[in-house]
Amino acid sequence: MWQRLSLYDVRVVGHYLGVLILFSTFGLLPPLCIAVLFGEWSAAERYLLTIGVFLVAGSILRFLRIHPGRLSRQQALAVTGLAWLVLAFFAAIPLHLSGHYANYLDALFEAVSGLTTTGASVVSDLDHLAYSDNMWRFMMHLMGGLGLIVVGISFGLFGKGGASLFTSEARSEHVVPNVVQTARFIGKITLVFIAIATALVTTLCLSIGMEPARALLQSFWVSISAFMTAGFVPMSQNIMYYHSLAIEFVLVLVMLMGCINFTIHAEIIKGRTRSFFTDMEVRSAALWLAVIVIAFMASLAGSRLYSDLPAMVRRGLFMIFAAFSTTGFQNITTTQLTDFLSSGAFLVLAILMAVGACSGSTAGGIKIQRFGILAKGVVATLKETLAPDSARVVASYQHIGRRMVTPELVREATTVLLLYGATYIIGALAGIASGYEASQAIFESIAMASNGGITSGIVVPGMAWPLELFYLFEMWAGRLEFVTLIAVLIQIVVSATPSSFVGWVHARKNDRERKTRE
Amino acid sequence: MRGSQHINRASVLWPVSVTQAVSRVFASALVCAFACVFACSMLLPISAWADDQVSFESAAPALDSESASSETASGESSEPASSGAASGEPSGSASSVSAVDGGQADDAEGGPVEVEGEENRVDPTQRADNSFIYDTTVDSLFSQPSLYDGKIVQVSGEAIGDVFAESPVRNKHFWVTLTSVDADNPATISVLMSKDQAKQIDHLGRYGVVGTTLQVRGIYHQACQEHEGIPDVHASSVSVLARGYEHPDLLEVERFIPGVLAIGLGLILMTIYYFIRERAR
Repeated sequence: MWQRLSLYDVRVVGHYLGVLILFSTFGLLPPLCIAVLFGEWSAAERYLLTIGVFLVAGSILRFLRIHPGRLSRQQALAVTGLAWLVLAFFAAIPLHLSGHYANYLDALFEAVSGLTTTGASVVSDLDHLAYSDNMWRFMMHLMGGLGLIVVGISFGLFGKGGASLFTSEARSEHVVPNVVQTARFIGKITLVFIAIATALVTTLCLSIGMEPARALLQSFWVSISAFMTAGFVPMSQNIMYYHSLAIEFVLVLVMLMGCINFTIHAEIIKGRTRSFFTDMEVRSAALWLAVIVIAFMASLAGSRLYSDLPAMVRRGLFMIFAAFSTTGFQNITTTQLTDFLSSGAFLVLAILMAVGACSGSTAGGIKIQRFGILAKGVVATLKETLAPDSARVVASYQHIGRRMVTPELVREATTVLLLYGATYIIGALAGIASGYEASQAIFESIAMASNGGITSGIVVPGMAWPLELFYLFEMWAGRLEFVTLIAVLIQIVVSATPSSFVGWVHARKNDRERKTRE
Repeated sequence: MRGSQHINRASVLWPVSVTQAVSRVFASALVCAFACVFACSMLLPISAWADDQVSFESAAPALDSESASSETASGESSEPASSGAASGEPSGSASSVSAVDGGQADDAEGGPVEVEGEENRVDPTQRADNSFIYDTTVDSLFSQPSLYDGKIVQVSGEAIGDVFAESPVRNKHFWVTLTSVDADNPATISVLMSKDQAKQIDHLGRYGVVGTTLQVRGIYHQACQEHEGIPDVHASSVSVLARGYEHPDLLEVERFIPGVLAIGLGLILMTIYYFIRERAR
C-alpha cells in the first residue's frame, strides 16, 4: 500500500520548503553586491525585488506550520524532491526579468539547469549579460552542486530531521558520523578547491592580458563550475574563449577533483592516501578512462580535422574529461562537435556522460560504483553457479575498507541503472519525435538526464516547449537519481486520488489475494 | 569463504609496503606532471611547437596586397558571384572609417588605395580558389564552416569581451572575439590580429557597452592546425565600421521602491512568525 501524505505532512513539507527559500535569500546577496559594485542598477532593482519575493514567499510557507516537529522519512523525501523545483521557480525570476531569456520557461530551464548542475544554457546574448546575472547563475551552481539539503543541514535548518534528508538527496555516505559535520566538511573542501582554482585561473587570465576585475570574476565562476562539475560559462565561446592551454589544464584537474567521492577527499586529508589507490571506484574509473581515451583517440584519428596530434590531444582529452565528470565544458564548437567529430567519437562522449563519475561526488550520471557493484554481483552469481552446494560465495569491494556486496546494494544499483536507461531512451524518443536526428536526440537526452550538459544544438533559446519541459524533468530526476523523485510523485498522485478510490483499489487487491490463497 | 581466500591471496601478492611505495611514486609522478605541463603551457604553448607561426607572418603581407587589390578593383562589392554568400554587408563603407591594414592596404586618410588597371589580381602565393574574398557573416562561418575553410573571408561583427595575447610570451598577435551583428542568428568567431589592428578597438562589448563593430578580412580555418583545432580567422586587414559606445544604467531611486516594499513586507511577515512561534511555546 502506498503511503499518502496527510494534511499535516503537507503543512510540514510546506514549512521546510519555506525555510529553504528564506535561506536561499543569502545566495541573492552576492549578485546584488556585484550589481551595486559595477553600477548595474537595472540588475540591482531586479535582485532587490527578488529578495523581497523570496522573503515573502518563504515566510508565508513557514506559516503553514508554526512548530513543524521532526521530519519523518516520508516528509523528508517530499521536501528534497520538491525543493529543487520550487526553488527553481523563484530563482528564475531575476533571470526572466533580465530580458536575456525568450520566455519564463527558458528562465526556468536555466534555473533548473543551474541548480541541478547540468550546465545546459538557453540564455540569449550571454556576452552582454550583467555580471550580477552571471553571479546568480554560478551561485545556483554552488548551491545545487553542494546540494540544497546539504547546505541547509550544514546551517542546522532542519534540526534532527537532517539524516533522512541527507540520504534522500542522493548522498548516502557520511564523511564523519554526524550529518551536520559531514555537510560542513563538504562545504569547506569545496571552498578550498574553488579558492585555489580561482587563484590559479586568475593568474593565467592576467598573464594573457585580461582586466583584473573580469579575470577575478570569470576565474571564480569557471572554478565553481568546474568543481561542481556543472558547466555554465560566462562567455558564449565556452572555455575556448580563453585560448589558453594552461587554463584548460587547471580546469581539467579541478573537474577531476570534483568527481572524486568526498569521503575519499576526507581520507586523503587524514593522510590515508592508500584509500584512494585501493578504492574500487577510483580504480574502475582509471580503467574506464583508459579504455575510453583509446577508443576516442582511435576514432578521432580517423576524422579529417582532428587527426593531427596537438589538436587531438588538446581538444580530445579536454572533451573526454568534461564528459566523464559530467561538467559539460566545451573547447570545441557545437558545429565541430556534431559535424567534425566522427560518429564514434560523438557516441563515446555520450557514453561517458551516461556512465558518469564517482558516487558521493558532485558528478552526475549513473556512477561508476554502481557498475562496479553490478559487475561484482555478476561474478558472484557465476561463482555461485559453479561452486558446490555447501559453498557460500561472498563478494566484496574496497571503499574505505572492505565492504560486502549485499543483495540490497545490487538491487539498488540495478534499479537506478534501469531508471537512468529508461529515461535516456524516452528522452531520445522525445527528441526524435520533435524532428531531430537520432544521434543528436540520444546525445541530448543523455546530457540532460546525466546532468552532463554538453549540448549538440537541440537546447537553444526558445526551443519547443514540450521538449524543453521533458528535458527539465530529466535534469530534475537525474540530479535526485530518480528514486526520491519517483517516490515524491507517487506520494502526490496517491494523496491527490480520492480516498474512496484508493480504498476500493485496496479492497480489490485484498480480494484477489484472498482468492489466490484459496 | 571464497571471498576471504581471495583477499588473503591478494594481500600476499600486494604487500602493504609495495602498495605504499607505488602510491607515493604515483603521487610524485602526478605532481611532477602537473608542474611540467603547467610550466610548458605557460612558456611553450603547443602552437609554438608546430612552428606554424611563419605561415601567419608570411600570409599577412600577401593577404594585404590581395585585400588592397580586391577593395580597389571591385570597389563596393568584392565578393565573387560564385561565392553564393550574399550578406548585404556594407563592404565599401569600411573605407569611410579609419582602416588600418598593416599600413599597406588602405591609405592614411581612410580611403582605399587605387591600383590602376588591375582587376581581381591573383595572389601568386595563394591557391586559385583562394583568390576570391567571400563576403559573409559570422553566423555563416559558424553554421557552414566547410564552405569557407581555407578561404579569404570578410566578416563584420561586434568586438566583445576581452583582447587576449596569443600567449603570455608571444604578444605580437592578439585574439579578439567577434559576435554576429544579427541578433536573430547569434554566433561568435575568434580573430587573430596584430597589435596595430587590435588597437583600433575603442570599446569591447559587454553589459552596458556596445563594442566596436569591425570588418575583418582574413583566412578562415574551420579547425586551425596552428591553434590546435579551433575555428578562427587570421586577419589580414581590420577596419572599423562603427565605434563602440557605453550605455550605462541610470540610477533611478523610484525604481527600487517595489523591491524595498517587498523586502519590508517579507521582514514584517518574518517578525510576525517569530512572535507567534514564541507565544505558542
